[in-house]
Amino acid sequence: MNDFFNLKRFLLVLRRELCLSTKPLIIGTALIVGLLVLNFAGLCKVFDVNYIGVNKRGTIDGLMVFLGLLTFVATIAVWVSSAQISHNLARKTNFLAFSTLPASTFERYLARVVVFGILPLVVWFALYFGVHLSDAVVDYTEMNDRYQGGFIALCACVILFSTVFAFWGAAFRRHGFIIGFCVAAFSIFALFRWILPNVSLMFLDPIGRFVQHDYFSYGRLRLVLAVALLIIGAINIGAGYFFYRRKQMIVKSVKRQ
Amino acid sequence: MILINSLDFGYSKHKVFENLNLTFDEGKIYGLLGLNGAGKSTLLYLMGGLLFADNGKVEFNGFDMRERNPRALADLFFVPEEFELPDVKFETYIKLHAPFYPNFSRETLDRCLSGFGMDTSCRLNRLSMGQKKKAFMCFALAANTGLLIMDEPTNGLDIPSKSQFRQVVSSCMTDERTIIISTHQVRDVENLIDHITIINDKQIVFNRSVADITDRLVFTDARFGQRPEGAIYAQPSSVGEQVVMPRGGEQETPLNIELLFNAVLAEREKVATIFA
Repeated sequence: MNDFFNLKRFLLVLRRELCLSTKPLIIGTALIVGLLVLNFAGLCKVFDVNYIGVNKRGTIDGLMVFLGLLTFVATIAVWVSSAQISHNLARKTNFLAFSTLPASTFERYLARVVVFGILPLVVWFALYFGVHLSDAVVDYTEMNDRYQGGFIALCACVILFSTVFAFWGAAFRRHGFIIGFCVAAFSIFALFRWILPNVSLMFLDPIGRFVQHDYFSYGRLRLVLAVALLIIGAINIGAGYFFYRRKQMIVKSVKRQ
Repeated sequence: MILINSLDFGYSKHKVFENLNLTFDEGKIYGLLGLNGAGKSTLLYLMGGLLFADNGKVEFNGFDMRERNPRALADLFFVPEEFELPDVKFETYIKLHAPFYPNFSRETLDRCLSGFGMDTSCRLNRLSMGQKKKAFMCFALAANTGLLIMDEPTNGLDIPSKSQFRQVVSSCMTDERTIIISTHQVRDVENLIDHITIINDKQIVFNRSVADITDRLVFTDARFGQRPEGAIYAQPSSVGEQVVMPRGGEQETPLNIELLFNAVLAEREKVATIFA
């Protein structure tokens, strides 16, 4: 039996993680969606529906506002979840229970990446592509090149920064989410710049202008973006595993190890 | 078998162990004793692969515990002092975790639970602390691992449960198994353990079997002013003094772990001379 990776053993770990960890994720998701649904009418009034974005008929309605906000909140939820790959192992009792489980470190780490990293991303993409079935939002195939580029940038940032949160969570435990959030914060403003083109965000405007630039319409740049995303994401996940392997019950500095 | 070789370990600037050497053999129940902060739990974490030694090695059945090899972990179970159980039924918990332990025995689990007056129909997060401890210990014993480590296992158990604990653990002991119990509640494990290891000042200061101890030492009471000649150590008691002395021709006396512990810490050289 392979000590590094055994499929049967990995599936046992994955089953355990899914059974024990998905309940809080499902409850959190239901709460977020529920809050937005309950405040739907109020949100439509707060955000002037004639002011934000366009749909394929060239007009805005409340449903698009709701879906846009839902996407934004879901994006944050994906990043928070990615940070949980290592974050809640900072507690002594959780760390002990998980680290004495008879599985390899890689199998345990991969199971957490799947449950807290990949699964929320799949849900996010299902949600985001699912809403495009509605007439209320712009169909991707009908977007012009600049909007398609911006959409790709949005997806890339969601995936990329989920790996960033995974890495920082593994490297810095309790502070991992805060550090990862600071790293990802600028990207949020860039996304807003795309969604709200008429709103000035002062010193962050250059980031927004980069996202909106016409060179996102070039197919090759999208290919470069996709490859860079895969490489950087893989490095983040790999670096996260490197720190995860060296985790001990009590935090010790990496240098001492 | 657990082999600890030339172990150095510390937290930042505080050194816990220096050049520690220790062996735990199969077929024995070890009592690991020490003052608060001596490093009992730290040693258990090192044996479980939860901490990494600064220098030296901790090996279990030939596996370096730093590697956290799954085959080693499948033959090891750790019952910590504090733990949390998930919000699931006990039966669900068993279905999720039992497959990780190849020697898991449902029969042993049911027998241990019966010994504690429990069953698997309960929801784990609704149990009291003592009940959770009993449930978790039953699972640990049923895993039938070669090494079972328990940190303060009787904390939180009511008085009848402490007796049940001794019975349940004794019934699960085999010649191939090693059980290490770290505890301050020495009276709870007095008739259970058969080897005593005492940690103090970064070192092992005492490491003997109970048979060896009772063969060389007697534990007795004396009135004030009537301390026997040659007594190694004495401490006040309700009737006068409790005394430890070398066994000459006297009859063997039951081991008093608390008295032995205090004697070892207070008169280490004298005790070492007797066991030389």
